[in-house]
Amino acid sequence: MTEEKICPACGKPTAGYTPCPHCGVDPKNRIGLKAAAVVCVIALVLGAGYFAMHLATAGPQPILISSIDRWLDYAYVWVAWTVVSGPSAGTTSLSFDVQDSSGQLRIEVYDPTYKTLIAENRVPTVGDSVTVFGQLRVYLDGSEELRVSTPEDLLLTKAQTVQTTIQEIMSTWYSTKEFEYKRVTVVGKITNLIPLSSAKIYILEDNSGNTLELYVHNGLMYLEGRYLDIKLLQVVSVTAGVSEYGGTPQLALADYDDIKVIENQLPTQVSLDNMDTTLVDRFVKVSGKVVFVEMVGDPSSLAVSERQIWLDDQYTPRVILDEGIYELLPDNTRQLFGRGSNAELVGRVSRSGTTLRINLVGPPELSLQSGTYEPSLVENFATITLGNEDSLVKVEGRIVPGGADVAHVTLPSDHEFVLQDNFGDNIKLWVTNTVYERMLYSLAVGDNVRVVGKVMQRGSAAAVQPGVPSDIEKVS
Amino acid sequence: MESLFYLLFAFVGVLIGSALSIVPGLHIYSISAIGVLFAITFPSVDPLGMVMVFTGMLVAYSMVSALTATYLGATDDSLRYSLFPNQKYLMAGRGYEASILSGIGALGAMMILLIIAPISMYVFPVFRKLATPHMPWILIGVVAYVLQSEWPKDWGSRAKTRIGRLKDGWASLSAGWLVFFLSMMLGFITLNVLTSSLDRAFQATIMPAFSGFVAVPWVLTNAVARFKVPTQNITNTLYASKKDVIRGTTTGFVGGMFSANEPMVSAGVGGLLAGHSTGTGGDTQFMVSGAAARFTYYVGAFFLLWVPLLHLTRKGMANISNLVFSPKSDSEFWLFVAVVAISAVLSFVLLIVLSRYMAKIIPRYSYRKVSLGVLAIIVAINLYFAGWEGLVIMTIATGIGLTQVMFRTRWANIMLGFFFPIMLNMAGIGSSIVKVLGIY
Repeated sequence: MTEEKICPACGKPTAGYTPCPHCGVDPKNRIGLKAAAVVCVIALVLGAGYFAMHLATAGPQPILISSIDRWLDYAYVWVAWTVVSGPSAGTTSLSFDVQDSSGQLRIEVYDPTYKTLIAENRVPTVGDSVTVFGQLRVYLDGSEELRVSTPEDLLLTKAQTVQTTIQEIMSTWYSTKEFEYKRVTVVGKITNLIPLSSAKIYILEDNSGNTLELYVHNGLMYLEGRYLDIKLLQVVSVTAGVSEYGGTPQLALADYDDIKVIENQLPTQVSLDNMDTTLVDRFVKVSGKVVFVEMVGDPSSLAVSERQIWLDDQYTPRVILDEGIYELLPDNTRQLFGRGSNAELVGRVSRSGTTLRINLVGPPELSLQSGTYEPSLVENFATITLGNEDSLVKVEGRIVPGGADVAHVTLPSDHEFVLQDNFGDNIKLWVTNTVYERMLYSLAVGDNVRVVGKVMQRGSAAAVQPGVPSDIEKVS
Repeated sequence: MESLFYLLFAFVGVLIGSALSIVPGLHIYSISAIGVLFAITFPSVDPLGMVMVFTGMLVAYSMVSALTATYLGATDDSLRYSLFPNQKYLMAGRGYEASILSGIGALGAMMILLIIAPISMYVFPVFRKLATPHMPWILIGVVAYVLQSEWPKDWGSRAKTRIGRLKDGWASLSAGWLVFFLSMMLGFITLNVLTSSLDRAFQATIMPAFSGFVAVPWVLTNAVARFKVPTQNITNTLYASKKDVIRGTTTGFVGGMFSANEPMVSAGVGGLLAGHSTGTGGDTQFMVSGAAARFTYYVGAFFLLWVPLLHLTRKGMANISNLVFSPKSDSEFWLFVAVVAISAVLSFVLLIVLSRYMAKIIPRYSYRKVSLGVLAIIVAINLYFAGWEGLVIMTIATGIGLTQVMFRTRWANIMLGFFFPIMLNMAGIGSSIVKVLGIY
């Protein structure tokens, strides 16, 4: 180096020193701008490649349900599938299930997006095709769902409606499944209602006795802002998607307006005395005085499974009321429901062995008027024998020692008390846990009680069994 | 054919972004927010086209604003990390070289983004899943590290007694804590008390605070120093080793990506952490890594919004553009990546052209006058966007910024302090502290 040497970086004389005493540069370490130019060219080539990929991948790129894994929790994905169940609605969300060739996935749409979908009449129904963009949630228990954030993220292609019959759907179901996840219109008569905790299943029946379930989610009333008003024995035309539950076909209703009433059929009006086997499977309208109501418990819980109603006397066919149907009754009807009321109801006749029954199916057609009924008092218990079995009695006496409760493993005991009359005669009082646990007071030896109940066999002797808690009255 | 128009939109964005980047104190987010208002007012404007304009602007800003840091000494928080070496180069007549090295750092970060783009949809969702549950303690850990890792400044005069050495050791740390505390208090107030109408809350609080923390103190310091900018050497050769460039780029990318992923962490803090963890040293590495971190912080964070499966909303531009357009498809992602590549190359060319121009004209002017002019522009912009209330916030923030300069403590303490209230909110205790402070 000579003293004339100039630092190429700062332009100052270096006096022969390396690195430059002014800026510290060692001229051996250098990069030309050409290197940056090369990088720019590579970047442009890559950019052009990515631009080509942009052109080649236009539109959403849906993923397969089977490819959803735990690592995709919180990921945003596109999916394009067929709706196979739903919609299930609540006050703040809407959900439905979709399926592709590899599996099923639940789609959740929350407020306010779901309200927009309702307002725009874009709620997906079974059979529709949807292309959805949303955030996946994959939980530790393996369950998965996709959450949709905006109405624009749900692209809906409505399914075409096919006119068919219940018989055709059922006959092809176990072979070709021709109507699975198709939107169909069928005609049928409402012949039953099965209430579930989150939905109601109406039974549609054609003239040949073929039946098809119509699933109506309770949340639909949030979407509709009203209750579904269809009645027993109405012939209706229903347009809905055919989904599957438990291996059987089910129509999934999406809109109350998709049910159109064609005809109101009337039941056969008969008196209770004229009931015979020719009426089996037919709907009848009967009336009478409720003389006894018996709550039948669920063996695995304290819940009531059904109520058996005696109309007029012990000889007429019992009316069977499923507890789920009972809970559908309006409050004022339930308040009147009890001994003494005058009832008019529509039910379906069935036969159990040689005994006829009237099943008070849903949607319930039951009207009640208040009234009273008290069976005559039996003062001498010795007159109540097994020959009186299934007859209605009223007894009054004092509880004395000697009763034997029947214990259950997980449930409270059924109670057996011994009731003594003024003549010193005894009769057993059998109170099931279903009734006893609903009583406002307990019973103990020494209590004087008045009981209305049916005569039944307990061991080798007769016993009196009250039907409901109000059948037992503690006198002192 | 329609897609080619999007490239044209991005080209327009690059030109706008480059022009605005050399205006001291003007943040690209402020202009983008105006763009959103424009798009909302005129719904016929193609949303994707508008966002492509934003992309071009952001890429240009991430690269070209190195010029204001180098020649004018005005910067935002993300450039503060590398400001000192840039200024050092300027005073050595190497301002042009410094700005180009910064551009190369940004270019390198862009190349890494291009390379990882095809695997990003498989990698980033996993990162997010791993990191999301741990976010609060990671952020608090970052704050603790930055506060406690500051090295004593006057290490040349080691005290003779243990107490003296302990005092020396805590002098810088205490100053850092003081700055952090003051900034945190300002953060608690400005982030919880609305000082302007809701529609311009960002401009009225964040922008004046950042201007006060970073740009104004530096410009004031330059104005007081009265130094003269020497003649700048314009050369096609950059005196830096390939190792420095590669190391600086990768370090900066890691730091920038960390800050892009983590809420409330700025590029500078990310760069600092990455620099410490990789042992970055020397002016070249600092400048290159600072520019790479800055580019990754801005563009990388926006990139995360476009990654298929991820669509993560991080930092200002993702939030702003989400108001106009939300990317949802692979196709849009590839378009974005292509636009970033082309915009970055274009921005780099503009950086060279503009840097040559500024290198020629800056030495002709009194740097004091230039600094005062820059200060006037910053005040005017803040007055325009934030009003008088904003100027009050800027003045308070300037006091805190000058405290940091005076004690020579870390500038990152200011940024972390200012955003610490939000971190506390994420940890679920922010509102309780605000109540104790009597803010509401």
